[in-house]
Amino acid sequence: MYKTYLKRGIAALIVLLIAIQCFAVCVFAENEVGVSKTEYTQYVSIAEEESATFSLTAESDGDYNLAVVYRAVEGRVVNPEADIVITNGTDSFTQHIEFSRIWSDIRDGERFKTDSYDNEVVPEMREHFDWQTVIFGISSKTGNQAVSLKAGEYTLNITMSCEAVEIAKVYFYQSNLKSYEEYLKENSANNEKATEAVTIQAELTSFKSDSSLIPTYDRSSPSIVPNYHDRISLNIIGGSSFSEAGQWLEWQFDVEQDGYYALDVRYEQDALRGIGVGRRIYIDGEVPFAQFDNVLFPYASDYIDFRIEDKNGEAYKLYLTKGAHTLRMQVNDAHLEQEIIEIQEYIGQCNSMYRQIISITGANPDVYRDYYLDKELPSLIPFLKDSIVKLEDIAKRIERWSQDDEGSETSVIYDMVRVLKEYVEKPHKIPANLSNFKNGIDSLANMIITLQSQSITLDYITFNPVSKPLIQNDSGFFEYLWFRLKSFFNSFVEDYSIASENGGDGGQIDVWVNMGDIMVSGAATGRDQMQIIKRMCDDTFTEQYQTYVKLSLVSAGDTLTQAILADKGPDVALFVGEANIANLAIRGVLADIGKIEDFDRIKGQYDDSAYIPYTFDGSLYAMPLTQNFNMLFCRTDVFEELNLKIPDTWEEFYAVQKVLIQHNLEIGISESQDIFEMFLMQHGGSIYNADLTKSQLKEQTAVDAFTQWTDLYVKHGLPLVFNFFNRFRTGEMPMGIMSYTMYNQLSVAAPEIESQWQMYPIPGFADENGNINRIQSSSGNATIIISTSDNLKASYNFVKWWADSEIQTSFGRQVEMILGKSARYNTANLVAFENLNWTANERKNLSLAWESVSDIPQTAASYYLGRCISNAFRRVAYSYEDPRDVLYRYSDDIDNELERKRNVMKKGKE
Amino acid sequence: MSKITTKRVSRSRWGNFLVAFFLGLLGVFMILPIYYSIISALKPLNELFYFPPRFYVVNPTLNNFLSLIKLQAQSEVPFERYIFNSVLVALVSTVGYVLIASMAAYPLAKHKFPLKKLITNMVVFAILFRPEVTSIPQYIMMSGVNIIDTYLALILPAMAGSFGVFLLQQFLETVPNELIESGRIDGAGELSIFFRLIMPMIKPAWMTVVIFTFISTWNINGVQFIYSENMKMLPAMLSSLSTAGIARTGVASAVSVLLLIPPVIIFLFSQSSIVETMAHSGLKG
Amino acid sequence: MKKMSGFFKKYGMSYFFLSFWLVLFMFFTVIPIICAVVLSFTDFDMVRTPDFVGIQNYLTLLLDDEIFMKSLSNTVFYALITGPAGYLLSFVVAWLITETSKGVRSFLTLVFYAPSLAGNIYMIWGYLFSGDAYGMVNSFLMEWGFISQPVQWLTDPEYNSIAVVIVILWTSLGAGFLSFVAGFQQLNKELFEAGAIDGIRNRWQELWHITLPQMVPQLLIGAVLSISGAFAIGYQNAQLTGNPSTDYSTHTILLHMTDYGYTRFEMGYASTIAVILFVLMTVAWWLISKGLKSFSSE
Repeated sequence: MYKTYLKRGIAALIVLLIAIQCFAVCVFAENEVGVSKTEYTQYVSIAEEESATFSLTAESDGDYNLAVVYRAVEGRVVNPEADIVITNGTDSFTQHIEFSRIWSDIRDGERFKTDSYDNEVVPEMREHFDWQTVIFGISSKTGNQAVSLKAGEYTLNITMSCEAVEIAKVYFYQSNLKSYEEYLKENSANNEKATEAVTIQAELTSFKSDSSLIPTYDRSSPSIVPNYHDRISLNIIGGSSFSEAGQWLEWQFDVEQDGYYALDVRYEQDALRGIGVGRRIYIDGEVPFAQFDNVLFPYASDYIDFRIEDKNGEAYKLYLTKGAHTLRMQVNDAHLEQEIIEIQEYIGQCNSMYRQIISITGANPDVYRDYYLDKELPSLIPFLKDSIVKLEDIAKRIERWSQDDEGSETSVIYDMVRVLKEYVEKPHKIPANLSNFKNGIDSLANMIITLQSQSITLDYITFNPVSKPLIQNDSGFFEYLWFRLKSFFNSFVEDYSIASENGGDGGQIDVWVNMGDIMVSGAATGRDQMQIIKRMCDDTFTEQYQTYVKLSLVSAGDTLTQAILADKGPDVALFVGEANIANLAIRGVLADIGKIEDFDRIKGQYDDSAYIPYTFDGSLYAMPLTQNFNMLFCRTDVFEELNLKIPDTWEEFYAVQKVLIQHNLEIGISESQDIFEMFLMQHGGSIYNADLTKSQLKEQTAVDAFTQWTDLYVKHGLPLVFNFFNRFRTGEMPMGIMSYTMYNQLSVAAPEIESQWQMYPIPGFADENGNINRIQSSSGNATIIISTSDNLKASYNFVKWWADSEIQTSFGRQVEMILGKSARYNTANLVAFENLNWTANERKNLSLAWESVSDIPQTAASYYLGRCISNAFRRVAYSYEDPRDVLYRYSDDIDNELERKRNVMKKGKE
Repeated sequence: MSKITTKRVSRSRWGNFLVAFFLGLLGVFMILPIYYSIISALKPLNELFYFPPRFYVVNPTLNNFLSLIKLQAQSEVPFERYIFNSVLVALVSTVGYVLIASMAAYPLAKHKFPLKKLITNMVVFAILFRPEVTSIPQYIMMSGVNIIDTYLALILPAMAGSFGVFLLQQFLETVPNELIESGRIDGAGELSIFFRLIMPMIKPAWMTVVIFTFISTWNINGVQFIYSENMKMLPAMLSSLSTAGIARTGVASAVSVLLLIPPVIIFLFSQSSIVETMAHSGLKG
Repeated sequence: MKKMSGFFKKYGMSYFFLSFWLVLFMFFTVIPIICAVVLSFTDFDMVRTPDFVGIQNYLTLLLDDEIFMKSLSNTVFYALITGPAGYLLSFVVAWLITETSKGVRSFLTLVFYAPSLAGNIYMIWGYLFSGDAYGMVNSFLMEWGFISQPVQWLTDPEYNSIAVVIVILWTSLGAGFLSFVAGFQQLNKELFEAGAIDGIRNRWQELWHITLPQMVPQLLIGAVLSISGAFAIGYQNAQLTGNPSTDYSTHTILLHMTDYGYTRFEMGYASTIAVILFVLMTVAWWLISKGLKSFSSE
């Protein structure tokens, strides 16, 4: 099935893919972008993985973009995405587009809801299902510039790769922005003088395009409005989440008097130093004139008040009538877009060239050998020469936006040029200095991420009568000092604990959240996740069970044990690791989860394998929370280049490996216990016997598995230690078996290869009927109840509530909503998993893999198992001892330890 | 510390060169990781990921430090509070320890009383004992008296060490007894003798203790004992900032460098005191 | 009664001065040590009350514990290398920098003492020794053709001692080093002159006959700190080579103790190890001090 997707992906690859560009340019006056009143009764619904065809007409030869009138459909939080093909029979254009949704904060009253400490809390959001008109770029070369089309009929084919939409109309669109002079002329009859300014607090948005655009706080200075020393107020919005082209924020405001107003923005921008950050500005759903199509906000490491002015320093005058208006700001990287696309393209070429080089020299070339690269790779030197010219040109183009001489963004390009020039002069030195090339590619890739991230943080926006000068609202030194002093003293009085608002006679429970195991990203220190849990508690738990919940963030594993020993432990603990749980459970410190009333209902929401590590003597001592397993990550473009098929069985895997090695490409499998467990299970063996008293590592199945595992390194030469992320990116390691959470890292930090890789189920052994057994082990963490808790009943209620799929779904969604893709929750709850933001394809692959997931039980000697396996592995892999001998020896060791610990396990029953 | 007089046997020039070379090499070896930390803190993000890592910076930048400032603006608890916590613990431990250690060292050096020998031996032996396994009983005792999650949980154990007492005792023994005798003759009480005569005389010694104690308490992370957000120590807070994600590698380096600065500064300024103390603090037979 | 008040009069002040520190010392150091000793005769898994088992732990440790023997030999190995080596190094470096001018000497003292101030920075060595082919040491050696495959410096039992020894030596110039620098400062110049006159011809003789004898007190304190440090090696090993390291190759007594205490949940046994460790250190210290004293009395 994935083959079709592979082909599509490759087809899209052949022409340029622009991953995340959605362009909302000006819209006809009758169609307001945003919440539209217009209802469309005729439309086409396209569900996920379905496609639809439309016909379009280009009236005459000219430059066009594509306009789509659509409505998002209720589904998951993530933006719908589609692949489109526009063709008239001879010319063909392909694109990947992303549809945005419409969100708004749920606020009652002017500002946000507060908690019992008077701190403003991040609001919940709701989605609006209204029609929007959005303009997308078609062109194969750029997106912001319209593509030149001949007059005639075209067909548009849209295939939804993620989520569904309803489309009412599509048509070719030609931009028709007026210039500022025209705008002034149009409004020249209006001469009223305005005297009152109108200020909008940026955090109080009316609508937004993305759920991750949440208001947040900066408590560092009194000059940020509003700010208090003794409570949190959400006073800013934006930052790194407001940075992708296409995202927008919208505000509503009222004007008292007709007149000309200047637009003043108080903001901070520390993303792009030398270059400004671009925003497209709409007033009342239209871009008033061309100059507002891309306003550049210069670098400002601290908040400044900025008036949008023309080149001569005169403010742009906006004519506003008395009444209600809307203002929308949309991220626009038009000033850099072309260069970004070219660099992305270039990186792809570089990586390909790099792979060709290392197919000759190997990844670690011999310094003393001359590889005669200029003869072996005749295209190399011309490519390098071209690169130099191309890069220098790109750099100059980027620099035309430089506000000052900082230009630190382009220094990366010049570094690369330097490296390339050296290469051209001394081609025989290339192998010796190969790492410079690779590092240069990495730097360019990272630079793209920087350039694409057009982030800005907004404090407030003012429409100021043109006559009024711009005021810099900086706080004075003493004001600042006094504010910090007050905050400081307040820190002794304020209660920073996170606890639920209300409770009742259900009592109180202490819940500890183990920070070490939750995925964190961006600015989160863990308190964001805690706030989410607290809010969910307030919404659905505390009322129902009349229980007061106090949440604490704990970081170390030992802390829990110590605290339990000193009787200062919690009632419930979340995200606790398997090993810790085993130790506590065996010693009788944990409560039996099976005793939750109604347990059978929740039980089925989790895979059977998830319960294995938490079950001792037939009783369950922890409720699974997260579950990780491995997937096969492949660079589809490299496989295509080398004409390889994604391996389903180990036979095919070894065949692929043979080919890769000829080109000096590597495969990444880390030497960890779960890989051994995978082989063991696939060979039909197991670690322990049924009653966990002896190991089964002397069986033939175990020896076979162990041999296969160590052979990967000993015979097939797989590297032992490597940085998968970096090497996968350059393509020198085009395949690897990694935890599926590697997906998060790749999708966020390696966007330049976004469409060039995929995640597949791991290979297995095929039986006579062709069924492939892909069984593998998994790991994760769980929720526990301490048996000495004073409030067992409430604790059981909490776990029952927390483990339910509805709550887990909500938690996962909210975490991703606020923290972004890289924080995607690896929930163990199968129902919740279905509702997370994976695309259909990914969901399919993951579900398929999940069916074959199992786990090994934990014992009191599990720590010993880990080290024995590790030692055994190293004896074979480093010292080349015989696998069978080594395995036998360590197997005895493990048995001894199991015997020793049997007393402990026995004691546990008392 | 004047130079040795010329009547001394001199080293050959060749010998001088060897010495300089050896010291130079060793010096580089010592400084290497610290140097690497410092330049990592100055590297822009793309240079941090160079593999193999580089020992020089192409485009030095202060961005990592600036990011640190930005990050702390987003914490609920004002940043000054964390600094205050670490400074408080370090100061109170230091001052407290110097005071009580000096007071303890005085009778051990100058008085005779039963159990003196025993206590003196305990002091020396306690330097030898490793604290790792006492941490569990310590934790239980501390939670018994309810000082977990308070500053005392960090301060009190820091004041219970014996190395300071040992140093002070050694130094005190070199103070001539006549001085004390004359004080007694003049009718001064023991307390007065101690604070007015003794303490000024043993200044290098307690300066040394001040420095050693401050340096070790400044770096305390304290996560096993402190749970409340506003009580956390500076190293704990800084390391929690820098562990979130790959983009924070530069910030982590900046953190290491920042934490290094106060001890280095203090050491530089008090080197002569330390050296003088150590000169008098050998173990007599 | 009279005896009591007489007692107080005579010794009251002494105890008064002592009391503040002594109370804390007792509470936080001595009592936990006693607890540890008591626990060493029990079986304690940290969550349930301890079980008295008599000298069972000691017997197991000394007669039946292979890993302990390995960690013992490792510890002695590291102690021998880094103890005397670090000691010697501290001494030699202090000796060599003595004669530079004050400013230079100050600077050099800082440079050599800096690793002790540097907290977690020793982890950089781990980074440099990474087993990845692109790790600093590996890529350097591979580039120059010394090796063809990356070496697992941190996890291969044959090599990880090298990395560990380097790091330990790196941090070995500590308080003992300062002690020596100080000692060299206050040598009696007249003796040097006298020596020059009496026919001492080079630096080595000068060192042996004049310098060393004057520095016995410093030598002794240096020895104490050295032993204390050497037997306490463990934490850095664990951070660098894993806990436990492959086949316990860099396992020390300290790590053995924390392994039993925190990973295996056998606190009683861990306490036994702690007691044995302490005994060993005391014995070593006694031997060395005897040796140095007899040397000084020559």
